Amino acid sequence: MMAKRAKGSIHHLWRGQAFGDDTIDTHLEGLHADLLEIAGTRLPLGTVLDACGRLGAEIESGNAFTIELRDSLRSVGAFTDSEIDEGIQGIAEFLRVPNLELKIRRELQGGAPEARDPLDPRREDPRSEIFEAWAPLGFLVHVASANAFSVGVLSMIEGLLVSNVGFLKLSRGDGDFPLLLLRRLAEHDPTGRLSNYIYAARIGSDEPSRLEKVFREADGIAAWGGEDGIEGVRKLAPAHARFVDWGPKISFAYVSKSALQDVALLSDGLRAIAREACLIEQQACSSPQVVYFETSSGHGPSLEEMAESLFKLMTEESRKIPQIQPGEMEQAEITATLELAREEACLGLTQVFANENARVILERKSGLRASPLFRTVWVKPLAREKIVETLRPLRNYLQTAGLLCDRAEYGELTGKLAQAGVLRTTPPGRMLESYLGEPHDGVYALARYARRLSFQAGGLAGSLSRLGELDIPPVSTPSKEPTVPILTKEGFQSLPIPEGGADLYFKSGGSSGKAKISVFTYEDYHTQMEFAAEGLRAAGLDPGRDRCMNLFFGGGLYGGFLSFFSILEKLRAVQFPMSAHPDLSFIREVIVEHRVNTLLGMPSSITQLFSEEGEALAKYGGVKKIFYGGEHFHDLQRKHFQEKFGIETIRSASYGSVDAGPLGFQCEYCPGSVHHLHSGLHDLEVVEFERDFPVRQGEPGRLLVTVKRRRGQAIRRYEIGDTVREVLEPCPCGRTQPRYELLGRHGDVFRVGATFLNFQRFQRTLQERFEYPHEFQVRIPATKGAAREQIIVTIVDSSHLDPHTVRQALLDSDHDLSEAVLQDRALEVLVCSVPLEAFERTGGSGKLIRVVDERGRKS
Amino acid sequence: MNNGDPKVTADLERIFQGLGAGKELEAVRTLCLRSDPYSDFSNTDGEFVSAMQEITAWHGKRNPFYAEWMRRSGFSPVELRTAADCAKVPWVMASFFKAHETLSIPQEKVSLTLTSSGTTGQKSQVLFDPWSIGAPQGMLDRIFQRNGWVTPNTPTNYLLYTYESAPDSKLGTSFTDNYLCRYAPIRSVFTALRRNGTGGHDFDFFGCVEKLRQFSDEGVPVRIFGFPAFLHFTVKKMADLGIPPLKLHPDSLVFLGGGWKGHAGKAITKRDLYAQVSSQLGIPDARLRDGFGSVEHCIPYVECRNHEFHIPVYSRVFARDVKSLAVLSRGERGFLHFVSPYITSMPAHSVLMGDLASVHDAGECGCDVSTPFFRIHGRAGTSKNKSCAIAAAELLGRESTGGRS
Repeated sequence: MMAKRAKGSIHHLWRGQAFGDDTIDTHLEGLHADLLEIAGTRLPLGTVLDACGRLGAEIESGNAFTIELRDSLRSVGAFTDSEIDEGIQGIAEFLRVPNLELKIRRELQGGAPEARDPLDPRREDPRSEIFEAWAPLGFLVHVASANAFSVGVLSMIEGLLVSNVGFLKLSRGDGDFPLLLLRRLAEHDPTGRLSNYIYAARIGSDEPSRLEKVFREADGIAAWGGEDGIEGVRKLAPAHARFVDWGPKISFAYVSKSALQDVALLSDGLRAIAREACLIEQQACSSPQVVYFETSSGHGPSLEEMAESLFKLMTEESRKIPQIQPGEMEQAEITATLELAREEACLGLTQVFANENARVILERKSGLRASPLFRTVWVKPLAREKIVETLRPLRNYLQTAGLLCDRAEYGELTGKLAQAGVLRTTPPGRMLESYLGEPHDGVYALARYARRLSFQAGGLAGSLSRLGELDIPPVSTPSKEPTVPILTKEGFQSLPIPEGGADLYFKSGGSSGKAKISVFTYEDYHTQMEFAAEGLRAAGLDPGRDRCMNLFFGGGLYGGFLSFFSILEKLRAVQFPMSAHPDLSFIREVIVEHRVNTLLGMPSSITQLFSEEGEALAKYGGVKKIFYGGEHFHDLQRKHFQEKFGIETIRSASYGSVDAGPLGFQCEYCPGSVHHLHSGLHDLEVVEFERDFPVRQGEPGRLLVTVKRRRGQAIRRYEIGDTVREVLEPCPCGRTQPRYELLGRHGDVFRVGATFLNFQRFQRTLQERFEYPHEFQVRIPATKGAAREQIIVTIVDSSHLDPHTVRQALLDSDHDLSEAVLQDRALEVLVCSVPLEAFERTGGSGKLIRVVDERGRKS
Repeated sequence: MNNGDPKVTADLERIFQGLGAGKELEAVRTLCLRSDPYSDFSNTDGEFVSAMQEITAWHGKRNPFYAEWMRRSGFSPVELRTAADCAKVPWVMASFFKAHETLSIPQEKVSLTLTSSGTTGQKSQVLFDPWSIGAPQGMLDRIFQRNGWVTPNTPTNYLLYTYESAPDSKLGTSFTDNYLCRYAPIRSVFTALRRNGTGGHDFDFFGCVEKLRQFSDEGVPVRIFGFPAFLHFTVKKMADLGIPPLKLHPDSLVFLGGGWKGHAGKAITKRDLYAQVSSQLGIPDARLRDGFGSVEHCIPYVECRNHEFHIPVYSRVFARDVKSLAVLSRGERGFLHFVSPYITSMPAHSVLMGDLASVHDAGECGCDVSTPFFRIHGRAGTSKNKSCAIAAAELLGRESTGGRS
């Protein structure tokens, strides 16, 4: 049998690579072995999203590749330029990462606001030991219809989002478009993993043995197109493959009794219907093909009058919209339909209104009919009482109803339409519109491309929030692109806030009276809180048992109280949202009366509470856990609390900052300042102190943070000022998230007394106020359990400045400093004058160490 | 059989008299009883025009629907002067008959109701009086005779790829296929689509193979009639199973009818089927023939040895532009339009079919039949799988092409 000539130059893609038709049979022979290795394995979501994002951006750039795509569609000869442009634009829109993330949240997470990996098993109820996750079907074959060129590609990408190995079955008549696009997608993944999941081939209907080889391996088959085509695929589909059909749908408009009486509503609504019946030649499933009128004899306008009005409006609207001429077959369909209707008109059943611009066929029978399209609609009567019995038999085909009615009727009519099987209801004129995350033909696609797994972990659950915490982490590829410079604190503050990227504003420090602000979307925020909750559980909070009091500061744009409220809510833990309330005896009363066993707050607040209400709390003896944040909890304090009040667990609630979000957490096996990294949220790098070079693994250096997904301020290689060292030994808790030991602060910006201070600001004050020309140094001594932290500004004695005057000047000109010292009383500042030789310097070059942080040093 | 068979002609004459048309349909009678189906084609134009005038007036007078349709079309039978003018006779869509029963005779004269063998949707109910079905049967007799297929002295084995009929079957195909067994004495008959006892039919592949083997051994001519898809399935499966090719008697005949639609919507090409049947069953290509006809237009069109559908003197065929419905020139494709005065029971004397076709001059074929012929180019209308919206049109269940009368 002679094969039809293929319309494109690429015959098939195998593992993302393009091949000619001479290798197809060899490849098919190897498919089984390929799939044993790859089907069902996890493709990191970030890998897919990144590649999609890059491909979408490239398409939007209109570069040479986009031109190639467009040409490949033109050469098929079946699409107009505007169809091609709209289709390509639609694909680019689909590929935007936030859109894909929203799709995942909607379709796999019930709309939960966090960005999660849906394939990572997590506790569905945070208090239970049962974990659930989505998993790929495995090998998902997509059979697309050739007419809608984007459908197959988009279906493939949907499959990839849930780690399916995808096989797009094309026919020989398809151009290169889907193959070019999928190959490019694979090329946009620098890790090279994605390509293993991408297969596509032209297989004709006269090559059943090839198709059979593909189908035999399938775990799922998604079929698009006409009813016969889908049935044909269904017959060939093996029983073990889930069959996902995306069959034909039909849509209509409905004009209610009340709308017929309301002149203004009716005329606007009819025009909107008329316009929509002309747009895109009714090629969409959501285009109206029938317009129902709830006419009744004797009341209001007749069906004939409505058909005539609609015809007049369609003729007018049609003239405004360039026409695409139907092909021979479509024209034959139109002609035959009109001709038959004209004959039936002799029996009084129909009435035909037709010109070159539009066609309206009035039919007195209510049954839903497909229109021959290209600006043709049926006009039919349908009383609301008959909606269900008329439409329900066709429920498998019903899609959109464009409903024109008044509000009093809206509930009744939408109810009846839904009962009949209608999936979408829109106002007339908006049937073609869709929104992000909208279900497709009554279902969410991603869930049909995935299986749902459960894991009853029992005691193995421990303090894990996700089983992914135990996964072998993918080889970390932090963004080491040399073009991305290190982001400083100042740089962070000047980051542009992207459009739509700011729902929440939090204060993250501030100097000279002007608050520094960090912005987040709600998605960013909830994602971060989700991870922070994971960290808190790992640190020892047991959401099933613990009764928690949230003592963090709230208000004034501070994030502490609110964040921990969200964290505890995510854990479904019992919570007393107290905040740093001034009435300490009330706090104590609530703790005792309601058997609170867990306190969360700043060390200073907690210390203050126990010093004021210590006796009663010691007597109560029920507080067993303290989770702190914002400041350090000193060893002496810790020992005091354990001994005097019987506190069993004192651990950092979260390691992080407002601007960078939660960075890490301490599990029960993390000693001192060792923390696991939230590797799902960030990539961390450690670079040398003096050069922006990665340190050797395990060496100390400056910490750089890249937040993987955040729509607010884009944090890439952000130098948060901590000095860290990676801990190379695996953690006994079983988690594979890397561990870092915090060694203290580094750089001009340093954190002390719950605030950030800047060496350069001190320098400016000294220069401006005293014309001080010398070196100076800031020392942060290890304060060992003192209530306040301390900084010592050492100046050169030869400057002969008075330390008291200098201290006052520093306080006067640094808002953050004075707030910490005078207002919050969390910090003391001393100024002393020493000989130049007394300054501490680096070992090698003898450069001045501007800020000497002694807090992390072993004494 | 009635080619020169006075008895059969007399039977048809008697049937015609039963219409009670008197002289009203004299030209119709003469044309439909012409003994040679293909000779003197253009010389019959005058008679054809007269017959069309008669039948159009017949329906206009007796059928309110058709009278209204003529009125709306602004047509009067007196306009007909040439055979080409017959294209103007107001046509009725074949699909109209699927939805509406419209009679030009009293109900009590209906002697036969045929349902076309469509796969989905509404079934055609076409009503016949004895003349309206007898006339095309007579034409088929004459065409078989002309092809030398009337062999009253040769006992023949029959394999029918058609539905084993229930006693009350109204399916047009079964009706026809049983009718076809009259041209050669029946030695045995095997029906491939057998009743399964639950109201449906199952295809009996192994039964077919067994019968074909037996027929081959018996060495007498075999006649195979019915749906091409099942014959195709048989020969393909035989090849797949490695069943050695059979050598049926060289005077065997394959005469097919029905849609060329195979399993899963896959079209079989005629050329492929003929090649496979030739090699698998040993019947020469010239004795593999397809028939085209339908319940809505019963004139038999039988392939010549070159596999073209020649037009007999009893009808005229046009192709019409899919947009303007203008009559197209030779070779151009458009809607298939049949015109024939044979039918008195329903206004189906001018029928616009749901098929695409082109009409060609006799000379293009080169066989011994000297009349023009037409070629079928598939269904007119939206192709399968075009778009989801368009494909939804399929839910209305359009009829499959080329059902046989």
